Amino acid sequence: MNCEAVELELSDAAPSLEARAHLEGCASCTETAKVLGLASLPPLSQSERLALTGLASSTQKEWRSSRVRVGAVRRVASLALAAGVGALLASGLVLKLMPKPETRVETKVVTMSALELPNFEVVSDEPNLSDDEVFFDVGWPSPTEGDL
Amino acid sequence: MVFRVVRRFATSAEDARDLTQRAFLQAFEHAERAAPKLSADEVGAPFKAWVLRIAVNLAKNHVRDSGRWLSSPVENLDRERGGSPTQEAFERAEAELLTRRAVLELPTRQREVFALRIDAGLSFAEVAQALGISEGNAKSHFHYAVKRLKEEVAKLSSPGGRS
Repeated sequence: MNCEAVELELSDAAPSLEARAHLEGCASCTETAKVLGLASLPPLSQSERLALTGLASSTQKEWRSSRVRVGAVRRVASLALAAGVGALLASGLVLKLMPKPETRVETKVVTMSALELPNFEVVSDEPNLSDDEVFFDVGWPSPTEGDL
Repeated sequence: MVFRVVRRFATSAEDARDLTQRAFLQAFEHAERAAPKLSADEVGAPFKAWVLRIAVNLAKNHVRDSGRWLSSPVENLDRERGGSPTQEAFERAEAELLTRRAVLELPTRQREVFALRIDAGLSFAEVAQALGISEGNAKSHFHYAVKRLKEEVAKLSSPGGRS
C-alpha cells in the first residue's frame, strides 16, 4: 500500500488495518494523519445542538408558508390576468354592438380654366435681340492708369 | 450531515442553522425540476448529493458575501469549552485553530472536496457526485488540499512560524 492510497484511507472514519500498519512506519503518512486530525471539526457543541433542535419542523413550516405565499401570488396573478382578458373581450364586444355613426361625404365640383400664357411668338418677332455686344469692354483698369 | 458541512463555513451556530434551512428549502423548491434527472442516477445517493451540492454552493456564496472570514463557530466552540487548559492543550487548540483557518483558505474546489470528505464523511464517489466532477478529480483535489495543509502546518511548526 503506497502513501497516496493511505492518505485517501486516512480520511475515512475507520481506516483499514493495512493502512494503520503503513502509518506506523511512515513519517509522511503520520504527518498526514496529524494534519487531518487538526483540521477535523470537533463534535457538535451545546449551542449547535440547540440550533439544530426543531430545525426540521421549522424548515417544514417555512416551506409550507412559502408555498402558501407562492400560491396566493399565483392566484392573484391569474385573477388579474383573467380580469384583463375579460375586460379586453368586453370592450371589443361593446365596440361591436355600438351603432356606428353615419358618415356623409360631400362632393364639390371645381372647374378650372387653362392658364393664360403670353404669346412668345409675338415677342420673338422683334429684330436685333442678340446678346452679342461688339464694344463691350471687360478689362480692369491698368494699375498704371487713373488714381492708382 | 448538511449542518456538519456548512458549520465549517458559517460564522456562528445560528448562521449554520440558517444555511442548512436555506439548503433544504432550495432543494425542495427545485426538486420537481431536478427529480427526473436525479432518478436517473444511482438510487439513494442522489438527493443527498443534491442537497449537499446546494449547501456547498450556499456556503461558498456566504463566504463570498461576507467578504472575509470572521471567527468560525469552531473558534467559538473552543471559547465555550472554557476550563483551565494546560500548556499542551493550549498549543493543540492553537494548532487546530490555525489548521482550520488554513482549510478555509484552500482553493474553492479543494475546500469543497475536503469539507464533504472530512466533515460530511462522504465517499469519494459521493463527493464527486455532489460536486459534479469525476472521482479521480475529487481524489486529486483532496490530495492537493492535504499537501497544502501539511505545508501550512510545517510552517507553523517551524521556529518563528506562528503568527
